[in-house]
Amino acid sequence: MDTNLTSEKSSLYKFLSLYIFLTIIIFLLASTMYYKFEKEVMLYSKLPKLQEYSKDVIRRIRAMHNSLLEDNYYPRYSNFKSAIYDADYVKIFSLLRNEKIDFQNYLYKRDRYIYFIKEPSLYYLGAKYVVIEVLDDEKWLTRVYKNILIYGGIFIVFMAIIGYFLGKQFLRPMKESFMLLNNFIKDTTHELNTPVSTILTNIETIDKESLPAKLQKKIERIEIAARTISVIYKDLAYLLLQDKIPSTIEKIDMNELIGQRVDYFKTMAEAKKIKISFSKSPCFLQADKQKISRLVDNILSNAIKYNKIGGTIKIKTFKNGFYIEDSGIGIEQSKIDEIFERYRRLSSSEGGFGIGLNIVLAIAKEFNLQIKVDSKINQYTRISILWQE
Amino acid sequence: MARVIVILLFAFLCNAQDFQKECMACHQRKGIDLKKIYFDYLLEYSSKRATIKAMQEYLLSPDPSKQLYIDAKPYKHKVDKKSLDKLLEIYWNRYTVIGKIR
Repeated sequence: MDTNLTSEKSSLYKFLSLYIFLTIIIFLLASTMYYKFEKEVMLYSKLPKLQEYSKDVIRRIRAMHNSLLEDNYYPRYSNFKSAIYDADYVKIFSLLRNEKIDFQNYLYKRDRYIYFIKEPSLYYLGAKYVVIEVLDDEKWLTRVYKNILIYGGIFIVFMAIIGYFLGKQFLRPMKESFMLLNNFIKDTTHELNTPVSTILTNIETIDKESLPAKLQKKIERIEIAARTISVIYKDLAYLLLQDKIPSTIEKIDMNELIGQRVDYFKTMAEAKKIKISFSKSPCFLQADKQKISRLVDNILSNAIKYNKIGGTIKIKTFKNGFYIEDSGIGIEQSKIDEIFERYRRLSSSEGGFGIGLNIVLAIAKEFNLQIKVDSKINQYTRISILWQE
Repeated sequence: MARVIVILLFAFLCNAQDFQKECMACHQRKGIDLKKIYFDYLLEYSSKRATIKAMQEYLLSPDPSKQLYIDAKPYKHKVDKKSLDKLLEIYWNRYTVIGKIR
């Protein structure tokens, strides 16, 4: 249930992130286009005045030229600056603040200045280009930024709201499928409990000693299968209902609990001729018995599952913890951290969903228990559960 | 190094003297204003490169259709291309507007 809702939320966030990213791209493009448009409008609005200025300069340099430069005083104006360049872009005379001229554009803005380049019909004083430079007060720019901020902000918020509702609409079928599947698993799990319990209860009432050896073996196989289903049922029930089951904290005698769980798995261990040794020291834990039972069951069932035929399981309890060590296939050192991930199965030789150790981790976290894994390939795996006094 | 500078200076002074002797004196005699010609060419060709090129072409093979200064008849100057290049350089520097505007 929780997993499905998490993945639904994650999908929604991913969709929203992509949607907002695209919205921002559109916003940036639109802002750039708007800025360029406003800049063009501003430049063309200045054009008549710039042309007038250039005419003044040309009139003056024509007089200078006609005097054969006897009159050599270049015109100066308070509201603009100017310069003259020859056909090879060589400066003849300049009063400009910035002399880096872009001769490819006849009207443009650079930094805080507007430039206009006029070509006179005759090259007075050799001037092919008359450059006019005026200071831009940039009032238009402040207006543009303000508009971009206000309308852009409204646009982004509007698009985010639309995106959120769109995302919800798109994800609704997925959510419904999840809910359906979830309910199905819940119902199925619930329905499994009664028949499995019935099978196990009835097997326990059979006096196996009085049965012929062949039948005894068959009954044992049924018992193992039923116990395996029972463990899976309990794991699934824990996964589905873990948030809803309140923990009842009590003082657990771990020797007693582990002893009971060893008895429970005895038939399964015997089927693989696994010898279980249990070294007991006083060991108590304050926790929920049902949940700790799940923790022990999962470690124990793994120790049986991944053990070799005729192998051993060593269980030892001590003051602040216990360990369960098998003589099985072992785990690569680099993969030890991965074994607690949900649905992670490092070996496909045995059945299972890969949820057992994830449940162990969840329970350990809930009760502040430390998990320590030591392993050597093809030799052993020891899982220790430790806690503070 | 000093010798090179002396040689260059000498060559320049020789060319300047040639310009004074050959060009200025003749134009003064004929009453054809060199400054006026310079400004007429500048008005038409703008840059140093284009102006000198146009002057050179005209002086080596005068074409009435390309004549800018109309107060004089086309006249083929008796000067080789190499000397003309140097003389035109002196001519340009003498009348250039660059650095004279204030």
